[in-house]
Amino acid sequence: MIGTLIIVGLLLACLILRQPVMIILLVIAATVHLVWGHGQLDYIIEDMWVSLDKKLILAIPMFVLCGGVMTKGSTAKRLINIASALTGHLPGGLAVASVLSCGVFAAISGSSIVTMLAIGSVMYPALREANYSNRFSLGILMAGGTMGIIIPPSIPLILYGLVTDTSIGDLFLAGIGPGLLILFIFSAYAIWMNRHLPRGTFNWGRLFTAFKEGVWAVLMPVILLGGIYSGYFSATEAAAVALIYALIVEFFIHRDLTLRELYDVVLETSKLGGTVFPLLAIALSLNLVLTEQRVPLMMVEYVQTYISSPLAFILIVNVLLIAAGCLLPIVEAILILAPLLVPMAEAYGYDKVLFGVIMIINLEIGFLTPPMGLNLLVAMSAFKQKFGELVASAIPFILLLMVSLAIITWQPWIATGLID
Amino acid sequence: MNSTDPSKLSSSINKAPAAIMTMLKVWHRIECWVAVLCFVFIASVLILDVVYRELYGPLMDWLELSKGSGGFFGAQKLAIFALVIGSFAGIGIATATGSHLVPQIAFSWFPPRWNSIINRIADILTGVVFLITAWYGLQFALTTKEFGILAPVINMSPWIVQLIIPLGFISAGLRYFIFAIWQSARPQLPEFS
Repeated sequence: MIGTLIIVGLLLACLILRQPVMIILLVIAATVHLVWGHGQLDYIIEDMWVSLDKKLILAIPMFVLCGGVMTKGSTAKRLINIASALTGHLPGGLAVASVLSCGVFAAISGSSIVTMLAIGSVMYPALREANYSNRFSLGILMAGGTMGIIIPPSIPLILYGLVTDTSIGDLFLAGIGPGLLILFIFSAYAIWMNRHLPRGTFNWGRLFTAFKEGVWAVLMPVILLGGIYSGYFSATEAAAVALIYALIVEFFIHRDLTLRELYDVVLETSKLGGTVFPLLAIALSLNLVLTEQRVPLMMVEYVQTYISSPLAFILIVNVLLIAAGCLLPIVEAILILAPLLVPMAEAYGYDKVLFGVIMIINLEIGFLTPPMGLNLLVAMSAFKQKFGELVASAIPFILLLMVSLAIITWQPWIATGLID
Repeated sequence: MNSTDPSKLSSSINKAPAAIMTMLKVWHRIECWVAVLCFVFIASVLILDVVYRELYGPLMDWLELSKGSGGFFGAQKLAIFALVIGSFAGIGIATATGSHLVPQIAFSWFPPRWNSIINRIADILTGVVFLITAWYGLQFALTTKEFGILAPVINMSPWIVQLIIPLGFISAGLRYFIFAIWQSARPQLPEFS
């Protein structure tokens, strides 16, 4: 009890004294070692070293580099041209093209923000010019961006796999169904909302030209995921192959990338590495000591004395995760909450792959909710809009994501069907 | 969201001497290059490993020639070492660019005029924690050296690589002390951190 009070007190002090998350985790890990462990703080460093000594971690910088290379080039424009040629004749065709482009680009970049910015910079002016309402245009692009974290390859899914010791291959497979469901629901909503707008005509010639110019970009997710699921490459090797492919396409085929831009991409990856990997190492070190002290098991026992129904458990966890998504950035939310919640979810009979997908979709909603919704905050400067306008634009899409989440929780085969 | 009013803050902070700013810039550039080289190395060895195994190996088989070890020896271990070096050099980069994630829940609990003093205390505290962690990191690397622990696969002692752990924390810690003394050197926190 005293130990818990000390941790709560230190946490509060760290928040008041504006400490980075890295310091907060270090302080908590040190306290746990001192209060419940053997008091040897060098174990923290040793655990950090062991935590980073996993080859799967290498997939993260590779996917980030790959996404960065493809983003610097004209991949987004080429994907948009194909999607527009495919859906232009539908009611709300341009909006459906935005959703499709976001979906495919997400499968390249693995990032929510990158997807929103890459597709949004081209599609926002196009949607407005085609008389789509401002709120709808903003909403569909911000929400479309969030697909970047559920459609594989997804960095949050890799992080979840690392901290909960879950197969990344299975997690990627489990992300495909929910990703397609969300894509379908967003597209259906776009068609319904814009059914009165004028429609274009389908043109085979336009589709052929767009496909000819964009085929290399479209092939990227096929190579990436095909390589992993054919058993030809591990996730890390697939990421390396995807990077070679991206470099060849952008340097020699599209010829849109310069060496200076490549340096910038690598530097951005380094910055991300400096922020995420030490944090990941400290979080994994903290998880090790918590597991050693049987904290997750004690939490399971404690929760089971109050909640007996798996349905009640998952509903409460969904609410908790949506709240966490509103307040915490996704990396921290996964690193801190996943190791504590997964043992509970398993105790209530939920598969940890399915729970991973449920968790990521919950946190995906957090990208669109104030006060910490990253897509909202980035969209403020990217689309030069007021925060209130962006929040209002996001509301229908938050509800659609919640509907998707409910469907996936109710029908888990949508996520686990491909694995089974 | 951060309630700091930059205009009020700037009047209460002292400017860092030009020499300090130049030193920080050079220091940052060195760390950037270390990290960039590490990530280029990671990408290169992983790509070479795959190319060696999937293209060179089958080609040698086809030509009925010896293909050697069948991959880039110790590629993934070396890549992990590079990742550790790049990541811990990245702590300094993240410090210099204000990329460390700082929860801002309590930022509005105090009047804005207190920002300067709270930021100084925060920087000193962060610096102290980083330096303490660096000390334990150094002990860890020296223990590895003393006991002659070898990394699997490549059979070399990883203690030199492990030295990047204290170095990364020292780099970040010293930077925070500089921020505490000269707050103008402190990077602006991103709005969405």
